[in-house]
Amino acid sequence: MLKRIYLPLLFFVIIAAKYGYADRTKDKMYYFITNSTGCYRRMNGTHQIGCTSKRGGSNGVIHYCESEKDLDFILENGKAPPYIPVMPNNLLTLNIVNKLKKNIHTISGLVIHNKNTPEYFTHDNQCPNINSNLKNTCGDGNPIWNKHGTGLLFNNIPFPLFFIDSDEDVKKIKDCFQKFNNHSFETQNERTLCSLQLKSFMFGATSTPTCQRRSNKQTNIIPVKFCDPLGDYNIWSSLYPVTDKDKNPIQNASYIVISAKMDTTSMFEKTAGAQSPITGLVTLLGVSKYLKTILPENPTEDKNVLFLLFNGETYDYIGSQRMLYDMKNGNFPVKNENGENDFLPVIRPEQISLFIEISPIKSSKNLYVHHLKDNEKIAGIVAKLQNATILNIYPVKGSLPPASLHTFVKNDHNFPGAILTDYEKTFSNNFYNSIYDNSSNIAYKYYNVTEIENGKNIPKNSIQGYIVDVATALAKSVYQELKGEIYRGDQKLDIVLIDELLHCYLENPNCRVHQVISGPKLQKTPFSLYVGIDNHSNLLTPLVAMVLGWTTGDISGEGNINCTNIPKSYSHKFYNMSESIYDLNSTKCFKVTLNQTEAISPAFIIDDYDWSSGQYSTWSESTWDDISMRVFLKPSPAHEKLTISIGSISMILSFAIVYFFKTRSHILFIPSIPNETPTEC
Amino acid sequence: MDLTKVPNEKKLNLCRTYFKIGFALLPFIWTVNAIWFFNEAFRKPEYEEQKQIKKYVVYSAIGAILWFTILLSWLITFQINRVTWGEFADNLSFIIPLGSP
Amino acid sequence: MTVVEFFGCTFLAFGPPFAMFVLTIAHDPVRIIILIAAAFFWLLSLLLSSMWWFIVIPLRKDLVFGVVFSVLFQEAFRFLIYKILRRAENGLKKITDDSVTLIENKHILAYVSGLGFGIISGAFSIINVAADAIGPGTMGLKSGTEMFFLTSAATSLCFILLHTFWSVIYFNAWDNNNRLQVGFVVISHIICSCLTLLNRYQVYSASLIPLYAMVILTGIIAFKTAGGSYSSFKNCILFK
Repeated sequence: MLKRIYLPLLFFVIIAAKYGYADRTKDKMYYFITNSTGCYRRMNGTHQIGCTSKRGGSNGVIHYCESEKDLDFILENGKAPPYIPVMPNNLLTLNIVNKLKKNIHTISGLVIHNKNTPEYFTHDNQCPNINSNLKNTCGDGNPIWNKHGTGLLFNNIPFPLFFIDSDEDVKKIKDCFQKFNNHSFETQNERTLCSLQLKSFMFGATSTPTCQRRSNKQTNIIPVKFCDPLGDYNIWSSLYPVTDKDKNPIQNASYIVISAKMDTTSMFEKTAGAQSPITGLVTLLGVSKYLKTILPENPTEDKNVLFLLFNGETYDYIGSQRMLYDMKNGNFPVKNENGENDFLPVIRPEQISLFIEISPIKSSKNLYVHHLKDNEKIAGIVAKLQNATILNIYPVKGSLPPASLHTFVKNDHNFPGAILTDYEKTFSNNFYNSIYDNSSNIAYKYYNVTEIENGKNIPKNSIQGYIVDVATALAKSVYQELKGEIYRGDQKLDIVLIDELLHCYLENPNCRVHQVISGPKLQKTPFSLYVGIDNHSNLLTPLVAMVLGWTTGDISGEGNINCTNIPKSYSHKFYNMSESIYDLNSTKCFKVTLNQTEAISPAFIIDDYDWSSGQYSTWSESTWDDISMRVFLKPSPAHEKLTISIGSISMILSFAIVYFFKTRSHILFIPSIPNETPTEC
Repeated sequence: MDLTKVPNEKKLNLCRTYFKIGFALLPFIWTVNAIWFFNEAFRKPEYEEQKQIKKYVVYSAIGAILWFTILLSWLITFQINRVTWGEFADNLSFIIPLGSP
Repeated sequence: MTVVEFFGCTFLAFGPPFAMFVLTIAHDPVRIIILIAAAFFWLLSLLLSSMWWFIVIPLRKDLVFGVVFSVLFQEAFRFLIYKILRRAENGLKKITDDSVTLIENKHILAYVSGLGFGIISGAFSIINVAADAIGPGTMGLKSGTEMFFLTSAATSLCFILLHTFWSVIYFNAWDNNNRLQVGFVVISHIICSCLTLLNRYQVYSASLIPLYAMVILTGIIAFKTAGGSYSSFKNCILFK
């Protein structure tokens, strides 16, 4: 635009002419790493965990480390602190983080990048959810479930921690490091250095009660939200209607519960979760579909099957704690004013005759049935499982791996529950709650089968085959439990459905199963499986609920516009869905008994809850405004000194000179006797 | 206002009024009074009202110093104990710092 | 631009004009008003230039046209403030404490309004860089050199001084109807502005050295215009 402005402006436009438009000074000074995810802060009743940067971002000189030796080198010889080490994933260990914490004046952040898939990578505790589990179920002679766990996820890290996925970004950082930093380390403090800025400043601090109290404070001049409780929704669905002739609730029925969890977490904002929880979740959906196929009508009215999907289980069983709390207060499946209503039965914990939790599994020929105490129910189901399958079934008594069942067993030690797993003493998952728990962890390959008879192309020894085996065994046992006789039909659980379900959750949400339930157009990348915060609903939860509705629903007629216009009630909903995954174009009208219940810890709804009691999950997530990462050049101190001295000298000198000439201006300028200069030159 | 152009009597009135207003928990008024009238009270050749002005200036100064001592010690106490006082300290705060205990 | 760099550049660009302001202008309210009025007129010229740039779409890409027209607008507004100041002289005489020097020595008005022009144009050029460059980094990651900010500041200072000198020469030239000097101001302004176009090649000395040569040349002419001479300068330096 202008004159003086054009100096810079010119400058920009000019460079723009060379490199294309919109190149601003800022763009030439900073390189944003967009493919990065940060670690953030969470709090429980007494502690804070996770990471934070300084307000406005933590800056540090890049030090690219291949091994721990490189890190030690810079900790000892670094002349231009603070540094930000950039390390491959296998160096993210408790030891190294502790070392960095000790050198907090030399280190201002840490960046981890993707190198090779490590042998194990799990930052949950060795005993996950130990504070909410039944006592004496992990460690001290009992199995250590997550033996590679570093516990870093629950560590309070006073510096920012980022993960970079993209090799291209890592290369940019490495090149910049090689060019500016990686030579003559003794003179680093005299040079211009390639540096990083990590921004992940967390607003909340100390503990959940503190930040909740501060968020609700009225006298704060600028009202700020410091943290949000973790939470989402649980999903429940019954195999058969819980009402009689669509009207009267069937009270006092007993229920067989099949449950699984549906969330995971990771050190960073990104999650994976193939084995935990997707395999368990898909197995449950398989069981529901198969049971509905082999036993479409309820043989006896006083028994039913309840499918429960718990959310937030990673953070001290938020979902199951809340569901049990609601059940005990007569508020499950819906909140009741007087402990009763006239559209849905009230389900209480005592009505659960058997509770089977499907724990995340991985291909194997064995299936372990973990349970606390022997009783006839458990013995019965073990025997039925053994009858129903070629898998090796091993009952494991007195052993409870981390699972939602703990919540119920803590409430009642005689609670008849069992957990199905593919491991006896330690997780088969080396990437429990980490970003590497992806489809390659369970050796999943999508076969994209579109004709039912091509299902045989999927090998029996794949993860799909194993899930089919487990789901079939469990469904047949439940069939026997309900009907009192062994299933002798020749219906099979379709392996293609399992293949498609895994594809939905692990690879592309725009999959065939989501088209069956007439889902909307969805994103192309898998959904996050992190439970999230209470007022921000996870997109995946309603989709899973719909799929469960589809597997357990009854067809009430042809699919048309009238279907969704049938008056909804609390006990039923009607949806247009395809009957089969092979024929997406025709729809039927499905009557679905299904709902979602809040999965927010009771700690947040009980007035005057004692936050340090440890009775309920108290996790909350800090708020923030920006998580970002950029590379820049830190000017050398010499250059900074040059700039400031030139500036200061020019200022001081000009004061001196102006003062001098001002005091002597009468000598300098001979008073111009009103313009006697030649008028016309 | 240029004090040199004000008659002595008015100066005294002004100084007294400032001193009185300061009692309404306004230590800054006392501070201003003390500084503004310092020259009048101590560095001007004697005149009739000077003695009283001097008195008000001294009292204003003492009052202001007392106030600032109290404020400063409260400030230090509060900042040191903010974290340990927990809820009590939060209730006293109008702005709670982000990201700190 | 780090904080240290920011202060270094600000001191360099605005130290001298600040010294001039504090020591020669601040004591007289009328001078301050004239300084601000001049700055306002420069802003008006900026507004006009940008509107012109906005309207004439075909020329947007060619920076040289923008530069030349911008210079012409600035000189037009310099003429405008000259006219206004000459008309306002009688009024100013009544309100200023120090009417003798201000009105008798017409160069003071020229100097003050020139400095106003310079300060505002310098502010705009340096703020443009600083606002965009805020943060911990310096130039040179992808392109450019570390010297970029320092050069920007030095160029800003250069134009602040040039504007002051130009105004002194220009006002005097109109007083005496000296077309030659008016032409000199306009032409040298265009030349200086176009010199900054060379910055695109990142050879900053190519623009800075001629610019400062121009400052010295213009400074000498302004000095002579204001009634100085070699002998008076010598007398001044040697305390005679």
